[in-house]
Amino acid sequence: MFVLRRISLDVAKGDFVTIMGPSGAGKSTLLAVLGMLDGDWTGEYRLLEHAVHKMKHKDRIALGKQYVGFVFQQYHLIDDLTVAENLAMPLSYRDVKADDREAAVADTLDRFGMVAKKNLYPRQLSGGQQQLVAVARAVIHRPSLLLADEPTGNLHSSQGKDIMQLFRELNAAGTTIVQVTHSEDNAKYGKRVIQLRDGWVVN
Amino acid sequence: MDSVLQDLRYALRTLQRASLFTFVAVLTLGLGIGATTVVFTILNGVVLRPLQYEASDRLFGVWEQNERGDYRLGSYPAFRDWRTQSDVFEALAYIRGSSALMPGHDGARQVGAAFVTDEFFQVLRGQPLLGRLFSPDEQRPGGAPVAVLTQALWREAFGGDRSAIGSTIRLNEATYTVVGVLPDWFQFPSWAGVYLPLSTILPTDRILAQRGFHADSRIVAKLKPAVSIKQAQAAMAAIQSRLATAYPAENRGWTRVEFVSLFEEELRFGAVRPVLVLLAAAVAAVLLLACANVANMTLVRAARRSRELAIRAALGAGRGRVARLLLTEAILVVLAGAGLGLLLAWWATGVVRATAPAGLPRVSEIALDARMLGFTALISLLVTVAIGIAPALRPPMPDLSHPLKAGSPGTAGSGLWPRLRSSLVALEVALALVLLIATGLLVRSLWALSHVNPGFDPQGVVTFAVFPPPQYAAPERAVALYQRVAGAIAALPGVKQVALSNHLPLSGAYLPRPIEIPGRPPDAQNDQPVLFRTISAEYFETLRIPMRSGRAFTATDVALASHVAIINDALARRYWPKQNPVGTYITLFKSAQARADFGQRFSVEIIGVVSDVRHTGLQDEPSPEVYIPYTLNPWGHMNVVVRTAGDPNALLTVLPRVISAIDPDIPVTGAQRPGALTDAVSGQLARQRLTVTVLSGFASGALLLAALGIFGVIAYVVTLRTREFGVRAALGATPRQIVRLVIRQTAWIVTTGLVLGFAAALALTRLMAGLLYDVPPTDAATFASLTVFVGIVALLACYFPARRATRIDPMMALRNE
Repeated sequence: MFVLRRISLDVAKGDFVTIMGPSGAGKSTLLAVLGMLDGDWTGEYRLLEHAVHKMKHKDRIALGKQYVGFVFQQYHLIDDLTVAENLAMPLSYRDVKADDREAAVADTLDRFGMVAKKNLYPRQLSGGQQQLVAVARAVIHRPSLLLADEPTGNLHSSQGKDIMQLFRELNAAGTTIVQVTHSEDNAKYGKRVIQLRDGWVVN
Repeated sequence: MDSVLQDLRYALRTLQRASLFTFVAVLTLGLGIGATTVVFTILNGVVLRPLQYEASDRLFGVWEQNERGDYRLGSYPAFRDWRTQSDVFEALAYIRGSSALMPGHDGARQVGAAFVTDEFFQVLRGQPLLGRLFSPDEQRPGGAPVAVLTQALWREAFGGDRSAIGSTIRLNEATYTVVGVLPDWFQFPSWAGVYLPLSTILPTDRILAQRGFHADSRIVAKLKPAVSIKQAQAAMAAIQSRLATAYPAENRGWTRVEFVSLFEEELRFGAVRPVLVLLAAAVAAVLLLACANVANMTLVRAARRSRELAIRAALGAGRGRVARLLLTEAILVVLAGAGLGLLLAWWATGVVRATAPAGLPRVSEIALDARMLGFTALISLLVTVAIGIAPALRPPMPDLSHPLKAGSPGTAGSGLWPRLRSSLVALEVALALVLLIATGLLVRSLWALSHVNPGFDPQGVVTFAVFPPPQYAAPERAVALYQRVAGAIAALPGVKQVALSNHLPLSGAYLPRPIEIPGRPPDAQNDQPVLFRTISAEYFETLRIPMRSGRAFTATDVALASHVAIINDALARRYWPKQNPVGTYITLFKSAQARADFGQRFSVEIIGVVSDVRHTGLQDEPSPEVYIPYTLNPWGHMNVVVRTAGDPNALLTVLPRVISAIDPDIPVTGAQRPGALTDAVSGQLARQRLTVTVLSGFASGALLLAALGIFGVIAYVVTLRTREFGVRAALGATPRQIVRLVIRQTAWIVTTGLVLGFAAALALTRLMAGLLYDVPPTDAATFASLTVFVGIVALLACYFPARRATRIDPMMALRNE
């Protein structure tokens, strides 16, 4: 039983791709494969100049760590960490020194307008604010590729618009974005759409 | 370093938020570590720590041994022969024990006086707490009479006052100057209260001139460093052969010498060690259980945090970082538990020292020291690994996306974690069953022992000892005193009967002596000594010991010191298995050591056979005994046995006044204090009772932990399967069917635990055989009943969370998904 079949996909640097399709089409799975979160596939996958399909599991993880940022529908913030600590976590896992880490966190808080909320816990934020923190966390280490799985799925429409606008700005600044969404409105923020149905790319 | 501090801060915060988990985990580990530390501190102080005497590994008690393997205490002449004829000893010392009367401002007290030869403090070398030891001049005949006190006597008689040094004490009719006080660990033999030079009694104590059996003496040796025990035994065997030839009457057959390490002698020849080892094993099992419980709780917590852990991995955390984070939490929990455990251990150790049961040796050496702190640190480290390593063991997750998917409830972890949890629960059940079975066997043993017929009726009986002051040394004066005492007590209201006896049953005091039966040549190989008893005419009636045949002593027999004797069933069965021994004459030997006639043969006619009494212990088969009128061989002290009509406690308060009125110099303190005979009987059970009580506590704790472990795991599984139970209920499953579904899953884990525990108990309880009375270590009834009991408790523990599954609202369950 296959979730994805004969996926052939090119995503250029600086592209903003939207993947759409009905439930069970394999959209999130495709995103997980692109983000090195799912290693159970066959075929070829090249990220920048790296042949991912030839790499061992450990090396794939390291590659993902270096180039990829992930935004989840459920935000997936750590409940017992403050906003600032959530932002610092990816840098900590990349062995960034404490001083550099603090500087990057401060810049990111400023950039996303969250300085006043840096010591709050996720449960003290609204859904939109939590997703904002999640996006900030995903980009703090300046990934080349940002993957977003239904980033506005749990948000009100106005909050969702803010997030999508942010994505557009990030893309304009050079970040390649691949998003999964059901929303036609969200798809309009991207440059092109890929349709998936039953694991196949249909367009 | 920075990331380590990060992990530490986060771990502290997480534990603070999960306060119930943290509290339960710290308390569980604290109790487990504390109990383990206390028991091992006792084990260390009593069994493991070497004696504090210098070169304690070369110190031995020396005993003569005959061809049948019996032991006897050596005599002073034998000691002198060993010293002059052997070259295996670095030092050899003789100790003559004597009960001395020491007047004081609070009345006379009986003191154990140890008269020692000049090398005593070379054999048992230790620094005095105060003052000094004997000088060479003081140990020569005619030297100044000096005394060295044990710390116990110094505190009791002088209140721990340092001015005791240089003061004088009177012991019987002699005066001694106190020159030193020993440290609290120096007390050998255990009954010694004061050490005095043997030279002070050498000219007058006739026993020191006698060969053969010596009661109340000890010989201790320090072997030369290059001499092994085998070599020493061989050298001594040669000397004993020469002595057997030179002194056939006293030494024939006593051709060997046994060296018993002083350590073993201090441990009462192993009576204490098996109990302590059993308790140590039990507490280690409880600690293991506590670790299993906390490990399971930690695993469940980690499983609930699988989403968080997956996020961390998705954000770049390697396995090592995640493992380190979980291990940091485990370390904090264990550190808190170890701190609590140490506090508990420190408190409990103090309680043990203050309330230690009689018969536990080396109590003063039970203390928390650096070695025990190191032990606590080691077990804390092992506990950390045990509870921290399990959740940190995560096989590579090729698909991190699953726990991160919307609606994912937090996984149960990989396949390893559920198997680990089940294994831990099975382990807990197994350990609880083993402990319960061990306890059950001891309970049955205790019950059997408590229903042993001692051979006499202790109810309503009070006893005390009369140690006459020196003015009653002459036999006739001692007899007159005993009769006055008995007469004065018999006149008291409420007294039904009064009797006299040299030794009381179950008191630990007895004297095995040879007997000769005319027409039957002595058989050194097979003839066992017989307990020598001197009694008044009322003795058997007072203790309600029935006569089997013949008659008891009459007042006339006693008054005339008739040459008559009564033997017990055990002796009759040995030498007259098919005959009635009444009317037969036998030869005995005078046995009052302080008397001039000690060792003198005399003939007696057997006039009766009396029923057996378990004199040496409830667990021991009755020894052969011969009773003679106490006037025939007056003893240096006498026990008075009083049967009362009313409450014996009322008599206890009156007796000291009665004795004082006869002679105020007769002590009624210490061992001479009046006591109920029922205490002596229950004292026989004291050690078993204490062991059962402590072990029951451990077993109950173990069962509770196992039940909690099962409860916790099942509760978690029910949470995980909320949706499934909701669907089943929506499809028509009854509550009973859902409960059965949950219990079935647990049943195989519990059954595995029961099987493992049963098998382990079968193997391990055989090691307890020496502690059991009249119960086989694989007693089927105990094993079967307790296995069923633990099974029922385990199933009850999973019933309540299983019932929770029946209360799940199907619509709520499905909506949550």
